[in-house]
Amino acid sequence: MSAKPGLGIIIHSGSYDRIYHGLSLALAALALGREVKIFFSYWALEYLRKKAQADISLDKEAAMHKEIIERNIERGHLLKFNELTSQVKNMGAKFYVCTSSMGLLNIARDELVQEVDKSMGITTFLTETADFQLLFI
Amino acid sequence: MKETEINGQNLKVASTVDAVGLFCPLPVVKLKLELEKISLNDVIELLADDPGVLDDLPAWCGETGNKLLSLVKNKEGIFIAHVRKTKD
Repeated sequence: MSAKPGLGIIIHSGSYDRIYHGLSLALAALALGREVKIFFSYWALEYLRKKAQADISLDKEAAMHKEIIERNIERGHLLKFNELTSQVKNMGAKFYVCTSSMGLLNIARDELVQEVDKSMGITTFLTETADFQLLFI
Repeated sequence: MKETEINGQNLKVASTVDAVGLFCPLPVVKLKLELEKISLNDVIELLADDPGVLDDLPAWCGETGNKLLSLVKNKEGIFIAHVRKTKD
């Protein structure tokens, strides 16, 4: 069997459902035994702020998506957002944050959750994932 | 250890993963995590009701090198699968 390609995911969107699904894709790849590296940029960074999730304002469509996902979380069909994040981390994914997005949004490293491994530029991320499958969300 | 019959053979089941009610990709994720705890060549049982497992489970076994022994749906609509850990 040839070596499996890793999965690199650039999560750019701040939409709850997109981030949730990006992390679900990461989880499936980890279950397949693949290496996973996630690069959080722009609006996705807001979700990595400590205690951020409650204060994010959502447009009507995103609010509806969030409601549907959360209803299914309550029913036990899906993992809670924070459980999903820690499961993905526990199974070995790397979390990187975009250095320039941090500057743009005026976010300091110590404002981000401990799951973040390091901050880097896009060039570094691309070199770290040169032979990976890449997704932009 | 629980026993089950597959294709006329009695098999010992080392562990059962109950993923009933869980949506994709959680059944496969739970299976993978449980598989890490059992010994090579042991058999694990997976219970799930997400129809995604019908395709996901053979695909997962194919890529990870584990053996899918059986995958059936019972009268209650629950999928019951048996997987042998053939890869460490």
